Amino acid sequence: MPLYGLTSNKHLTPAIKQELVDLFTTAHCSIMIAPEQFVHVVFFEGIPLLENKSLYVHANVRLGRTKEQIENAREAFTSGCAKILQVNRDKIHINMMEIDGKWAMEGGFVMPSPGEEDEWMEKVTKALREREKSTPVKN
Amino acid sequence: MKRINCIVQEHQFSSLEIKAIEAGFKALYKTHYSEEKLTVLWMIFPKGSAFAERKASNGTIILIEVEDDIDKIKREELMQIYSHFLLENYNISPLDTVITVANTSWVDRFFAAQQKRIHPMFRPWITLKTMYTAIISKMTRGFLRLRIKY
Repeated sequence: MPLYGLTSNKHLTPAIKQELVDLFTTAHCSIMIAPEQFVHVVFFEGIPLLENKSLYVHANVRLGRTKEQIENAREAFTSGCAKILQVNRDKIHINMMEIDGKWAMEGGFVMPSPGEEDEWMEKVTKALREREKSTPVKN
Repeated sequence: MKRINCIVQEHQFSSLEIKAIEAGFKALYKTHYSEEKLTVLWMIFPKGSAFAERKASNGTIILIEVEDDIDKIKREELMQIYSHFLLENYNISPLDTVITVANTSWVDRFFAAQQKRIHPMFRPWITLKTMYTAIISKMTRGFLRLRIKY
């Protein structure tokens, strides 16, 4: 979490997809104050979209963000996608669907509400470090 | 009828494994939560279509539908049980897993949004293609696979 489902009316090149992934990861982490590890982006392609949009973004994000954070994220996604896809802003549709963090488990622990991440992050970071240590180094 | 929606990566599981995971998910649901009929839907992403932390994803994302009146203890118990099942049987680390146990009203809105994104004129056609793919997959591979590309 978050999970961003990007549906495009056309098939996208790998380079464009990577640019979109970077946009969503960067904007989400800076605006929502969240770690990159857990930003998921998936693509659905070749679907004719409502109102002839070029891109429909369905975002599942944790409940509890401020109105300002949501609006800032929406603006960053809209302008960023329009720039990457070289289309007008009105060709981008953003659908933000909030979900209670306590309904989800990620990294092996039930997710915290926004603003209560410290303890959760500590536990997950520790688990990630332990996994890195136990992964054999390939020569 | 309740639903489980699974997002997995193409390289992760064979068809036989997916069938076995689905059977496991259904058994867990029946044993630990409800005997209500359960439909498991699979979204299998090819390389280059799913990302986590900016890179190709190795993630398994599971959405499990439950009644709106589920309590906190049961919800968390279900998350733990499904996470444990994936780790014990398929060596899927909890670090690579997102398990969401969501209320029916939320899941309904989630699936409605998937429909709403489609241009109304093409909804019947896209729905037909989706159903065709899912049914063919069920007949030939034993599970309902949803299309990612059209």
